[in-house]
Amino acid sequence: MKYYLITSEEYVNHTANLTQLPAPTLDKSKYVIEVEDDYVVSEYISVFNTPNELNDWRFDPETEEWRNWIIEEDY
Amino acid sequence: MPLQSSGQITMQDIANEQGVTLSNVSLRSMSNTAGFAIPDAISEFYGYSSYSNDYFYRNDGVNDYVSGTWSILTNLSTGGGWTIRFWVRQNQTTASSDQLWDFNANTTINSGNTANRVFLQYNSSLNRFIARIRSNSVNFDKQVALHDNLTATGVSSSGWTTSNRGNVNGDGFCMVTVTYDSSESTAANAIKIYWNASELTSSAATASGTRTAMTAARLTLGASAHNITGGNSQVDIDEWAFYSGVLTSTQVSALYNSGVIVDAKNINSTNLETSIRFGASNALDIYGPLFTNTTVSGGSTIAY
Repeated sequence: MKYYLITSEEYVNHTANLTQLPAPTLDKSKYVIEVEDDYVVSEYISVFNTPNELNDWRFDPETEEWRNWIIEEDY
Repeated sequence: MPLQSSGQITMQDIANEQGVTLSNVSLRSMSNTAGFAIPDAISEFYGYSSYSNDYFYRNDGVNDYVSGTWSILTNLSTGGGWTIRFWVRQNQTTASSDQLWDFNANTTINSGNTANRVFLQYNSSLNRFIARIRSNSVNFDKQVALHDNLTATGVSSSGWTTSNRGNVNGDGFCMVTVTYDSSESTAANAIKIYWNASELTSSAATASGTRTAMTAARLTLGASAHNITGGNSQVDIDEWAFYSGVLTSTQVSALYNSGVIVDAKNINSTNLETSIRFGASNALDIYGPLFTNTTVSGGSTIAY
């Protein structure tokens, strides 16, 4: 499986083909989709081969990227 | 030829004496041939246990979860005490907040409704466990920093990651247990959190807001039901168990079993209402009637 970071505009091109839930940013402007290795995503921002690659990028403490993905306090 | 009175006796020896072929036989069939009846199978021998722990569940921390409906013992806030214990292996290389288990009053996934929840969360920015009983949008919780309980957890302030798993067994798992006694008026006294067999006694914060009856309708492991991809855990989980009672530290220590992961039912079945075990091909082996209509979404069970 691979994880693609794509825009919300590109996301609509894949919704019918997804077997796993998409993970959107808090503002729903970007999505991560998890797909089989041979699935073709031509228009993507980034691709990650493992969940660690993806999460290391999303939650890097030296960037503010994590603020797009997880709220500071989850009630 | 009669069997010898001492020394090793093989199944072939027994088959020869009975005049049967040694194919597709069992002790039971041989016993029956000899004129005996139940109990005669190995599984019926006194003290025999067929238990083995072969699989755990893996959540990728992106979009995976296990979830199902929760019923019967509905009032988790004011209805008495409970205990939840599970084994967990941290797999994230960069610390992020993890929802470890989550009850919600709303049965619908992604409802966005957070008014009535009971959950255990790891908060990475504070390096804390947060055990919260939230009813009618009011919090009753205890927060313990892993680094403030360093002797018990072994997790330093750099965060809970693969390089900082803390005090774990040989497979990298630790046992985390939360007990809750609703008869206590303060969260400080009502909630206890254990790492392995040790209570995390240094508390960073508590909230003791007014509690109202909270009807749990859904249980989710590895994610929050109200926002199913908003805080998924990148962890492995094994042997999740729910007791309708407050286990003592001695009982928690027994469940820890010196770091050997064992089904709760095989150690302490008193007040055990639910046990979730993991089998091959994403199978859930669930003890008790509370957790039903389950789904394994995205994640997978993996053999040890």
